Amino acid sequence: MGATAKPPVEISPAVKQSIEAIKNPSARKIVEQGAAIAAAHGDEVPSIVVTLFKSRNIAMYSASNDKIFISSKTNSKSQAEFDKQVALGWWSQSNPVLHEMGHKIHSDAVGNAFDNTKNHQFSDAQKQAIKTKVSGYAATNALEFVAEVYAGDRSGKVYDEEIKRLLDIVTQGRVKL
Amino acid sequence: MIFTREDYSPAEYAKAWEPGDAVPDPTESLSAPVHESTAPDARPDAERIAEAVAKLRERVEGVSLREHGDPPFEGAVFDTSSHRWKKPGEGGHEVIGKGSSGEVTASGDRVYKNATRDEAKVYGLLKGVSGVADATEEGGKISLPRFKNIVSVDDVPQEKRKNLAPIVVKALPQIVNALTALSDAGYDYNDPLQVGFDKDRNPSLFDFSAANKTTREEAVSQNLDKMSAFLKEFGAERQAKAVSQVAATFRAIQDPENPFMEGEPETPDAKRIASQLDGKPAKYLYYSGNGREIPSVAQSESRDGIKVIASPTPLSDDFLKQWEINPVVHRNSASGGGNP
Repeated sequence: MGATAKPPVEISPAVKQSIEAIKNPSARKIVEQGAAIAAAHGDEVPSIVVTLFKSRNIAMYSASNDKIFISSKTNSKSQAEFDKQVALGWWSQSNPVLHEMGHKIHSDAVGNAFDNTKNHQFSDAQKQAIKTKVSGYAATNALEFVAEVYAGDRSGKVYDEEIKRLLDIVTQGRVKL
Repeated sequence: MIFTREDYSPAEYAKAWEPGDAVPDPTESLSAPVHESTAPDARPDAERIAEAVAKLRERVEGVSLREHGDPPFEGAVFDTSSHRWKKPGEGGHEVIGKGSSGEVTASGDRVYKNATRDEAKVYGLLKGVSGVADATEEGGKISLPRFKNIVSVDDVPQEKRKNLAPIVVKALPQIVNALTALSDAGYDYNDPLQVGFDKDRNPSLFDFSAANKTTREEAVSQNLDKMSAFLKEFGAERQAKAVSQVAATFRAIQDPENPFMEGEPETPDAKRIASQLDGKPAKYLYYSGNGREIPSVAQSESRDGIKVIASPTPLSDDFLKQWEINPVVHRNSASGGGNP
């Protein structure tokens, strides 16, 4: 995490309990991996629960509940599908929980301004740079841009000044790589 | 929030921000065939026979000939199951198709294929269960009955599928029994269902090559989605809708306070059933078009003419008949062995 790297943190007992309660083995593996990476980078992991989405959503972070939800449809084929998204350039990395951690970090940093981030408009040139340097999904809107940059960074990707500058603009400088 | 590229659209993204918008459609789980189609081959017989002979020759000359010496007579075929040379058509293996696990061969009334993942284990767990194909493992291969007809999206052309509704509906009790046994064993079928029919039209669920080990609750949920998708695909629309409604209610029963289900019709159904079950699990599931209150069982209000019923123990056949109840997750009283 560059110059602002934080020391690793322990996952809290309550959060550990929420993870241990996940019965779906495929979802649990993904959750454990994502949570471990986030904690190793010093990020506080919230409770994570499996849930049924009505959309085709794979995971989401709810700021009001401070929880990450992962789809109950996650199965043994999911990880291969997630890896494919990275190969396609659609995701910056292959763990959806890590992506949701990006939303949490962003939400914690900007508070009520979080919801408004979605309305931030990138120029066509910026969108193209985001697609090329971060991911296709990051270019869909500013919220996802922040989450994808965070997740990519935590997975070992290094972003250039243009991306960092955009991150500063979108998060008012409150989320740093 | 995160979507795959295939599933992302601004509309889908917006929907995910607004809990209460859409009901999950279990038919979405009907994935594309994962193995090569074995639909009827439209090529001329001579061409198909030539290809089959070439494949056999390749196998015999490439593997068996080296291991077992020269054939004792012209045209002899080495039978890998009995490990001896046979005359063509007299017990020798005939290549009848190719799947994700390699060639599928047939000899007499049996079909042989390579076992993949937990397939052999699943057949072992479901041994003797009515509605499950009678399979054995022989030398790393799965031996199955050679079905007279197969109903699956791989085997039936799209334009003919809806015509099979009467056959599929008649087979439903056996399919329910087989899928319930599979769920009880903690396996999700994880693929579009494939049902084989013998010469007496007895149905058997087969091909557990994609089966995925999970919890019973998740297996029930996923297997009901597969059942609903199968019924819909083969024209049994009414039954498909009922099974879909049962599946959605079952999922809601697992977590009646799920914030993403708020406002969904399944939520009041689930709350009512959970309250009537009074802490007992919704292990067996049924539906009924009977508008009357059915005594002594947890049930939803009738919605779209369908009432969802849940029970911690299987309901008796007499009770099902008396109250016009259709099983969805249920073991037949004479369903045979398998994992309890």
